[in-house]
Amino acid sequence: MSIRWIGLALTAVLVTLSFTAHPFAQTRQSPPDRGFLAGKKYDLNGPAPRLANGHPDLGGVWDRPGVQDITKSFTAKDGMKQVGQADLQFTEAGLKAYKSYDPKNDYAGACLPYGWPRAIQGLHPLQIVQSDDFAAFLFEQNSWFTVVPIDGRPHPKDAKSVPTWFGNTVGRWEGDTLVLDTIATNGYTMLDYTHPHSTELHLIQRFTRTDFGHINYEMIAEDPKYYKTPIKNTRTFVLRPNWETMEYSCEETNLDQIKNGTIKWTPPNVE
Amino acid sequence: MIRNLTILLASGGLFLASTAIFAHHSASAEFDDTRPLEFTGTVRLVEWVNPHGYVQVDVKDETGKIVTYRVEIMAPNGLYRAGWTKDSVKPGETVSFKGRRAKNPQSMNVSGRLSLNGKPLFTGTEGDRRGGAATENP
Repeated sequence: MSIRWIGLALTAVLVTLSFTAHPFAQTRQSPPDRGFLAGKKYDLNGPAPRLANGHPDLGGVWDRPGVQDITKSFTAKDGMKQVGQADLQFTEAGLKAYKSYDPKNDYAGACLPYGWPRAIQGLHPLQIVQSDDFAAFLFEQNSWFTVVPIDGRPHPKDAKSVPTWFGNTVGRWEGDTLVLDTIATNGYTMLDYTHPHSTELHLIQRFTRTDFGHINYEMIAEDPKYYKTPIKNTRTFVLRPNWETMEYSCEETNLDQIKNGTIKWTPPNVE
Repeated sequence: MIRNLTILLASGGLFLASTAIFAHHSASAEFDDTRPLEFTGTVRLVEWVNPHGYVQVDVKDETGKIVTYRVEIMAPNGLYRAGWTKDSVKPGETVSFKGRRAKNPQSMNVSGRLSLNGKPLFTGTEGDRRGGAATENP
Protein backbone atom coordinates (compact mmCIF):
# COMPACT_ATOMS: atom_id res chain seq x y z
CA MET A 1 0.00 0.00 0.00
CA SER A 2 1.44 3.35 -0.97
CA ILE A 3 2.05 6.18 1.49
CA ARG A 4 -0.61 8.15 -0.39
CA TRP A 5 -3.26 5.49 0.32
CA ILE A 6 -2.20 5.21 3.97
CA GLY A 7 -2.55 8.97 4.28
CA LEU A 8 -6.01 8.88 2.78
CA ALA A 9 -7.04 6.06 5.13
CA LEU A 10 -5.76 7.95 8.18
CA THR A 11 -7.62 11.06 7.06
CA ALA A 12 -10.82 9.04 6.73
CA VAL A 13 -10.35 7.61 10.23
CA LEU A 14 -9.74 11.07 11.71
CA VAL A 15 -12.80 12.50 9.97
CA THR A 16 -14.89 9.61 11.30
CA LEU A 17 -13.56 10.09 14.82
CA SER A 18 -14.26 13.82 14.65
CA PHE A 19 -17.91 13.04 13.95
CA THR A 20 -18.31 10.34 16.57
CA ALA A 21 -16.66 12.51 19.22
CA HIS A 22 -18.91 15.46 18.40
CA PRO A 23 -20.20 16.96 21.65
CA PHE A 24 -23.70 17.52 20.30
CA ALA A 25 -26.63 15.24 19.65
CA GLN A 26 -26.49 11.83 18.09
CA THR A 27 -28.32 11.37 14.84
CA ARG A 28 -31.39 9.20 14.67
CA GLN A 29 -30.36 5.61 14.12
CA SER A 30 -31.82 2.15 14.04
CA PRO A 31 -31.95 0.62 17.53
CA PRO A 32 -29.98 -2.57 18.11
CA ASP A 33 -31.88 -5.81 17.61
CA ARG A 34 -32.77 -6.92 21.12
CA GLY A 35 -35.86 -8.79 19.98
CA PHE A 36 -37.02 -12.20 21.10
CA LEU A 37 -35.76 -13.71 17.83
CA ALA A 38 -32.47 -11.81 17.70
CA GLY A 39 -29.85 -13.79 15.85
CA LYS A 40 -32.30 -16.45 14.69
CA LYS A 41 -33.51 -17.14 11.18
CA TYR A 42 -37.20 -16.79 10.43
CA ASP A 43 -39.55 -16.29 7.53
CA LEU A 44 -42.47 -14.00 8.30
CA ASN A 45 -44.42 -15.63 5.50
CA GLY A 46 -43.54 -19.16 6.58
CA PRO A 47 -45.87 -21.53 8.41
CA ALA A 48 -47.13 -20.71 11.89
CA PRO A 49 -45.03 -22.48 14.55
CA ARG A 50 -46.63 -25.15 16.69
CA LEU A 51 -46.09 -26.49 20.17
CA ALA A 52 -45.35 -30.18 20.71
CA ASN A 53 -49.03 -30.66 21.53
CA GLY A 54 -49.89 -29.72 17.95
CA HIS A 55 -51.59 -26.39 18.67
CA PRO A 56 -50.32 -23.26 16.99
CA ASP A 57 -47.89 -21.27 19.13
CA LEU A 58 -49.01 -17.64 19.32
CA GLY A 59 -45.78 -16.70 21.09
CA GLY A 60 -44.05 -13.52 20.02
CA VAL A 61 -44.15 -9.74 20.20
CA TRP A 62 -47.13 -8.40 18.29
CA ASP A 63 -47.87 -4.99 16.86
CA ARG A 64 -51.59 -4.22 16.55
CA PRO A 65 -53.71 -1.49 15.01
CA GLY A 66 -54.41 1.44 17.34
CA VAL A 67 -58.18 1.44 17.45
CA GLN A 68 -59.52 4.59 19.07
CA ASP A 69 -62.96 3.99 17.60
CA ILE A 70 -64.45 0.53 17.05
CA THR A 71 -66.76 1.91 14.35
CA LYS A 72 -63.84 2.85 12.08
CA SER A 73 -61.86 0.76 9.58
CA PHE A 74 -58.35 1.35 8.29
CA THR A 75 -55.14 -0.27 7.10
CA ALA A 76 -51.91 0.64 8.86
CA LYS A 77 -48.19 -0.03 8.52
CA ASP A 78 -46.95 -3.42 7.28
CA GLY A 79 -50.41 -4.85 6.82
CA MET A 80 -51.88 -4.07 10.22
CA LYS A 81 -55.59 -3.77 9.65
CA GLN A 82 -58.78 -2.85 11.47
CA VAL A 83 -62.30 -3.57 10.25
CA GLY A 84 -64.77 -1.88 12.54
CA GLN A 85 -68.53 -1.99 12.84
CA ALA A 86 -69.89 1.29 11.55
CA ASP A 87 -73.38 0.95 12.98
CA LEU A 88 -73.83 0.48 16.74
CA GLN A 89 -77.32 -0.15 18.08
CA PHE A 90 -77.39 1.41 21.55
CA THR A 91 -80.01 0.53 24.11
CA GLU A 92 -81.40 3.45 26.10
CA ALA A 93 -79.01 2.73 28.96
CA GLY A 94 -76.09 2.36 26.54
CA LEU A 95 -76.81 5.67 24.84
CA LYS A 96 -77.02 7.38 28.22
CA ALA A 97 -73.65 5.95 29.22
CA TYR A 98 -72.11 6.94 25.87
CA LYS A 99 -73.33 10.52 26.12
CA SER A 100 -72.11 10.85 29.68
CA TYR A 101 -68.50 10.14 28.72
CA ASP A 102 -66.24 12.90 30.00
CA PRO A 103 -62.64 12.95 28.72
CA LYS A 104 -61.65 14.75 31.91
CA ASN A 105 -62.80 11.71 33.86
CA ASP A 106 -60.48 9.33 32.07
CA TYR A 107 -59.57 6.02 33.67
CA ALA A 108 -56.75 5.51 31.18
CA GLY A 109 -55.20 8.86 31.99
CA ALA A 110 -55.49 7.93 35.64
CA CYS A 111 -53.36 4.85 34.84
CA LEU A 112 -56.07 2.40 35.78
CA PRO A 113 -56.25 -0.97 33.98
CA TYR A 114 -57.49 -0.77 30.40
CA GLY A 115 -59.40 -4.05 30.38
CA TRP A 116 -59.23 -6.43 27.41
CA PRO A 117 -60.98 -4.41 24.67
CA ARG A 118 -58.85 -1.31 25.09
CA ALA A 119 -55.64 -3.18 25.94
CA ILE A 120 -55.81 -5.43 22.89
CA GLN A 121 -55.80 -2.43 20.61
CA GLY A 122 -52.57 -0.73 21.19
CA LEU A 123 -49.89 1.77 20.66
CA HIS A 124 -47.44 -0.47 22.45
CA PRO A 125 -46.53 -4.11 21.86
CA LEU A 126 -48.16 -7.23 23.23
CA GLN A 127 -46.05 -10.29 23.93
CA ILE A 128 -47.78 -13.64 24.11
CA VAL A 129 -46.09 -16.52 25.92
CA GLN A 130 -47.85 -19.86 25.61
CA SER A 131 -47.63 -23.29 27.16
CA ASP A 132 -49.91 -26.30 26.86
CA ASP A 133 -52.36 -25.10 29.49
CA PHE A 134 -51.85 -21.33 29.79
CA ALA A 135 -51.22 -18.27 27.67
CA ALA A 136 -49.72 -15.13 29.19
CA PHE A 137 -50.63 -11.83 27.56
CA LEU A 138 -47.94 -9.31 28.45
CA PHE A 139 -49.05 -5.81 27.55
CA GLU A 140 -46.21 -3.32 27.45
CA GLN A 141 -48.80 -0.62 28.09
CA ASN A 142 -48.40 0.04 31.80
CA SER A 143 -46.60 -3.31 32.15
CA TRP A 144 -49.93 -5.09 32.63
CA PHE A 145 -50.29 -8.81 32.19
CA THR A 146 -53.06 -11.35 32.30
CA VAL A 147 -52.72 -15.13 32.35
CA VAL A 148 -55.43 -17.23 30.74
CA PRO A 149 -56.03 -20.96 31.11
CA ILE A 150 -56.44 -22.34 27.58
CA ASP A 151 -57.25 -25.92 28.42
CA GLY A 152 -60.96 -25.58 27.81
CA ARG A 153 -62.07 -25.21 31.41
CA PRO A 154 -65.28 -23.27 32.13
CA HIS A 155 -65.51 -19.99 34.03
CA PRO A 156 -65.55 -20.44 37.81
CA LYS A 157 -69.10 -20.58 39.13
CA ASP A 158 -68.51 -17.51 41.29
CA ALA A 159 -66.81 -15.47 38.53
CA LYS A 160 -69.52 -12.80 38.34
CA SER A 161 -69.30 -12.18 42.06
CA VAL A 162 -65.65 -11.20 41.63
CA PRO A 163 -65.73 -8.41 39.00
CA THR A 164 -62.37 -7.06 37.85
CA TRP A 165 -60.96 -4.66 35.25
CA PHE A 166 -59.95 -7.46 32.87
CA GLY A 167 -62.76 -9.79 33.98
CA ASN A 168 -62.53 -13.56 34.12
CA THR A 169 -61.14 -15.15 30.98
CA VAL A 170 -60.88 -18.77 29.88
CA GLY A 171 -59.62 -20.16 26.59
CA ARG A 172 -60.29 -23.09 24.31
CA TRP A 173 -59.16 -24.26 20.90
CA GLU A 174 -61.47 -24.38 17.91
CA GLY A 175 -59.22 -26.07 15.35
CA ASP A 176 -56.19 -23.78 15.00
CA THR A 177 -57.97 -20.81 16.53
CA LEU A 178 -57.55 -19.88 20.18
CA VAL A 179 -60.85 -18.55 21.54
CA LEU A 180 -60.86 -16.43 24.70
CA ASP A 181 -64.12 -15.96 26.57
CA THR A 182 -64.39 -13.11 29.08
CA ILE A 183 -67.12 -12.24 31.60
CA ALA A 184 -67.25 -10.56 35.02
CA THR A 185 -65.79 -7.18 34.11
CA ASN A 186 -66.36 -4.27 36.47
CA GLY A 187 -67.87 -2.00 33.78
CA TYR A 188 -65.32 0.78 34.34
CA THR A 189 -63.42 0.14 31.11
CA MET A 190 -64.22 0.98 27.49
CA LEU A 191 -64.54 -0.93 24.23
CA ASP A 192 -62.26 1.73 22.72
CA TYR A 193 -61.61 5.35 23.78
CA THR A 194 -65.24 6.45 24.11
CA HIS A 195 -67.67 3.52 23.77
CA PRO A 196 -68.72 2.10 27.13
CA HIS A 197 -69.77 -1.38 28.13
CA SER A 198 -71.75 -2.61 31.08
CA THR A 199 -70.98 -5.32 33.61
CA GLU A 200 -72.96 -7.68 31.37
CA LEU A 201 -70.21 -7.64 28.74
CA HIS A 202 -69.47 -11.04 27.25
CA LEU A 203 -66.34 -10.73 25.15
CA ILE A 204 -65.23 -13.33 22.64
CA GLN A 205 -61.74 -12.98 21.14
CA ARG A 206 -60.47 -15.30 18.41
CA PHE A 207 -56.75 -15.52 17.60
CA THR A 208 -55.63 -17.34 14.45
CA ARG A 209 -51.92 -17.29 13.55
CA THR A 210 -52.28 -17.49 9.79
CA ASP A 211 -48.52 -17.66 9.17
CA PHE A 212 -45.30 -16.97 11.06
CA GLY A 213 -45.71 -13.20 10.94
CA HIS A 214 -49.44 -12.55 11.28
CA ILE A 215 -52.44 -13.13 13.52
CA ASN A 216 -56.02 -12.71 12.39
CA TYR A 217 -57.91 -11.37 15.38
CA GLU A 218 -61.65 -11.17 15.85
CA MET A 219 -63.48 -9.49 18.72
CA ILE A 220 -67.17 -9.93 19.39
CA ALA A 221 -68.64 -7.88 22.22
CA GLU A 222 -72.07 -8.98 23.42
CA ASP A 223 -73.58 -6.53 25.87
CA PRO A 224 -77.38 -6.63 25.75
CA LYS A 225 -77.66 -4.02 28.49
CA TYR A 226 -75.87 -1.36 26.38
CA TYR A 227 -76.12 -2.64 22.78
CA LYS A 228 -79.05 -4.27 20.97
CA THR A 229 -76.78 -6.35 18.75
CA PRO A 230 -73.27 -7.79 19.17
CA ILE A 231 -70.36 -5.65 18.02
CA LYS A 232 -67.72 -7.22 15.80
CA ASN A 233 -64.23 -6.02 14.89
CA THR A 234 -61.62 -7.96 12.92
CA ARG A 235 -57.94 -7.04 12.90
CA THR A 236 -54.56 -8.15 11.61
CA PHE A 237 -51.61 -8.22 14.00
CA VAL A 238 -48.01 -8.17 12.76
CA LEU A 239 -45.05 -9.94 14.41
CA ARG A 240 -42.10 -7.73 15.41
CA PRO A 241 -39.19 -10.19 15.83
CA ASN A 242 -36.69 -7.41 16.57
CA TRP A 243 -38.72 -5.82 19.35
CA GLU A 244 -38.40 -6.56 23.01
CA THR A 245 -41.12 -5.86 25.53
CA MET A 246 -39.93 -2.93 27.62
CA GLU A 247 -40.81 -1.37 30.96
CA TYR A 248 -43.65 1.16 30.96
CA SER A 249 -44.83 3.15 33.95
CA CYS A 250 -47.93 5.25 33.35
CA GLU A 251 -47.72 6.77 36.80
CA GLU A 252 -44.23 8.18 36.34
CA THR A 253 -45.41 11.58 35.20
CA ASN A 254 -49.19 11.28 35.18
CA LEU A 255 -49.04 11.16 38.95
CA ASP A 256 -48.36 14.90 38.97
CA GLN A 257 -51.41 15.54 36.82
CA ILE A 258 -53.52 13.32 39.00
CA LYS A 259 -52.34 15.18 42.09
CA ASN A 260 -52.91 18.65 40.61
CA GLY A 261 -56.34 17.73 39.31
CA THR A 262 -55.64 17.85 35.56
CA ILE A 263 -56.55 14.17 35.44
CA LYS A 264 -59.46 13.00 37.56
CA TRP A 265 -61.29 9.75 37.83
CA THR A 266 -64.36 8.66 39.69
CA PRO A 267 -66.15 5.39 38.93
CA PRO A 268 -68.94 5.83 36.39
CA ASN A 269 -72.47 4.88 37.31
CA VAL A 270 -72.27 1.31 36.13
CA GLU A 271 -75.55 -0.17 34.97
CA MET B 1 -38.27 34.79 21.14
CA ILE B 2 -41.89 34.03 21.78
CA ARG B 3 -44.66 35.09 19.46
CA ASN B 4 -48.23 34.09 19.21
CA LEU B 5 -48.98 32.01 16.21
CA THR B 6 -51.37 33.99 14.13
CA ILE B 7 -49.84 32.25 11.14
CA LEU B 8 -50.60 28.94 12.70
CA LEU B 9 -54.25 29.87 12.97
CA ALA B 10 -54.33 30.30 9.21
CA SER B 11 -53.16 26.73 8.77
CA GLY B 12 -54.85 25.68 11.97
CA GLY B 13 -57.29 23.30 10.37
CA LEU B 14 -54.56 20.96 9.22
CA PHE B 15 -52.63 21.29 12.45
CA LEU B 16 -55.58 20.73 14.73
CA ALA B 17 -56.71 17.78 12.64
CA SER B 18 -53.30 16.15 12.98
CA THR B 19 -53.04 16.75 16.70
CA ALA B 20 -56.55 15.41 17.22
CA ILE B 21 -55.57 12.19 15.47
CA PHE B 22 -52.63 11.67 17.76
CA ALA B 23 -54.22 12.93 20.95
CA HIS B 24 -53.17 10.60 23.72
CA HIS B 25 -55.24 9.56 26.67
CA SER B 26 -55.09 12.85 28.58
CA ALA B 27 -53.97 15.23 25.83
CA SER B 28 -57.41 16.67 25.15
CA ALA B 29 -57.83 17.30 28.86
CA GLU B 30 -54.42 18.91 29.29
CA PHE B 31 -53.82 21.01 26.17
CA ASP B 32 -55.75 23.85 24.59
CA ASP B 33 -56.03 23.97 20.79
CA THR B 34 -57.01 27.63 21.03
CA ARG B 35 -53.71 28.62 22.69
CA PRO B 36 -51.08 28.20 19.95
CA LEU B 37 -47.43 28.83 20.67
CA GLU B 38 -44.19 29.00 18.71
CA PHE B 39 -40.67 29.48 20.00
CA THR B 40 -36.98 28.79 19.53
CA GLY B 41 -34.92 28.06 22.61
CA THR B 42 -32.11 26.17 24.28
CA VAL B 43 -32.48 22.64 25.58
CA ARG B 44 -32.11 22.48 29.35
CA LEU B 45 -32.95 18.82 30.00
CA VAL B 46 -34.48 15.72 28.38
CA GLU B 47 -36.89 13.90 30.71
CA TRP B 48 -36.88 10.32 29.40
CA VAL B 49 -39.95 9.15 31.33
CA ASN B 50 -43.33 7.41 30.87
CA PRO B 51 -46.00 7.74 29.71
CA HIS B 52 -44.71 10.81 27.90
CA GLY B 53 -41.25 12.24 27.98
CA TYR B 54 -40.50 15.94 28.09
CA VAL B 55 -37.83 18.24 26.69
CA GLN B 56 -37.24 21.26 28.87
CA VAL B 57 -36.45 24.29 26.73
CA ASP B 58 -35.26 27.69 27.98
CA VAL B 59 -36.78 30.55 26.03
CA LYS B 60 -36.31 34.31 26.37
CA ASP B 61 -39.67 36.07 26.61
CA GLU B 62 -40.60 39.60 25.46
CA THR B 63 -39.12 41.13 28.62
CA GLY B 64 -35.85 39.26 28.31
CA LYS B 65 -36.68 36.90 31.13
CA ILE B 66 -35.84 33.21 30.63
CA VAL B 67 -38.83 30.89 30.95
CA THR B 68 -38.66 27.11 30.76
CA TYR B 69 -41.24 25.17 28.74
CA ARG B 70 -41.71 21.41 28.99
CA VAL B 71 -42.38 20.04 25.52
CA GLU B 72 -44.27 16.77 25.74
CA ILE B 73 -42.89 13.94 23.58
CA MET B 74 -43.99 10.37 23.11
CA ALA B 75 -43.35 7.41 25.39
CA PRO B 76 -39.65 6.48 25.50
CA ASN B 77 -40.24 2.91 24.30
CA GLY B 78 -41.81 3.99 21.05
CA LEU B 79 -39.20 6.69 20.56
CA TYR B 80 -36.45 4.13 21.08
CA ARG B 81 -37.98 1.82 18.48
CA ALA B 82 -38.15 4.77 16.11
CA GLY B 83 -34.41 5.30 16.50
CA TRP B 84 -34.30 8.00 19.17
CA THR B 85 -32.55 7.96 22.53
CA LYS B 86 -32.26 10.37 25.43
CA ASP B 87 -29.06 11.63 23.79
CA SER B 88 -30.68 12.52 20.45
CA VAL B 89 -30.59 16.11 21.64
CA LYS B 90 -28.20 17.52 24.23
CA PRO B 91 -28.52 20.34 26.75
CA GLY B 92 -27.33 23.55 25.15
CA GLU B 93 -28.58 22.78 21.66
CA THR B 94 -31.10 25.03 19.94
CA VAL B 95 -34.53 23.63 19.10
CA SER B 96 -37.70 25.07 17.64
CA PHE B 97 -41.29 24.35 18.65
CA LYS B 98 -44.74 24.82 17.13
CA GLY B 99 -47.77 23.73 19.07
CA ARG B 100 -50.20 24.61 21.82
CA ARG B 101 -50.12 25.55 25.48
CA ALA B 102 -51.71 23.76 28.41
CA LYS B 103 -55.23 24.63 29.48
CA ASN B 104 -53.92 25.33 32.95
CA PRO B 105 -52.39 28.84 32.72
CA GLN B 106 -49.95 27.95 35.51
CA SER B 107 -48.57 24.97 33.57
CA MET B 108 -45.49 25.31 31.36
CA ASN B 109 -46.24 22.00 29.61
CA VAL B 110 -46.76 22.35 25.87
CA SER B 111 -47.60 19.90 23.10
CA GLY B 112 -46.62 20.07 19.44
CA ARG B 113 -43.80 19.62 16.98
CA LEU B 114 -40.16 19.89 17.98
CA SER B 115 -37.31 20.31 15.50
CA LEU B 116 -33.52 20.32 15.69
CA ASN B 117 -31.53 21.96 12.89
CA GLY B 118 -34.71 22.17 10.85
CA LYS B 119 -35.40 18.44 11.11
CA PRO B 120 -38.22 16.81 13.14
CA LEU B 121 -37.06 15.63 16.55
CA PHE B 122 -38.52 12.80 18.64
CA THR B 123 -41.16 11.82 16.13
CA GLY B 124 -43.13 8.88 17.43
CA THR B 125 -44.63 5.86 15.76
CA GLU B 126 -48.28 6.12 16.79
CA GLY B 127 -49.29 6.98 13.24
CA ASP B 128 -47.95 3.62 12.14
CA ARG B 129 -50.84 2.00 13.98
CA ARG B 130 -53.58 4.41 13.06
CA GLY B 131 -53.88 4.21 9.33
CA GLY B 132 -50.56 5.40 8.01
CA ALA B 133 -50.98 9.10 8.70
CA ALA B 134 -47.86 11.17 9.27
CA THR B 135 -46.05 10.41 12.48
CA GLU B 136 -45.88 13.33 14.86
CA ASN B 137 -45.60 14.18 18.49
CA PRO B 138 -48.85 14.21 20.48
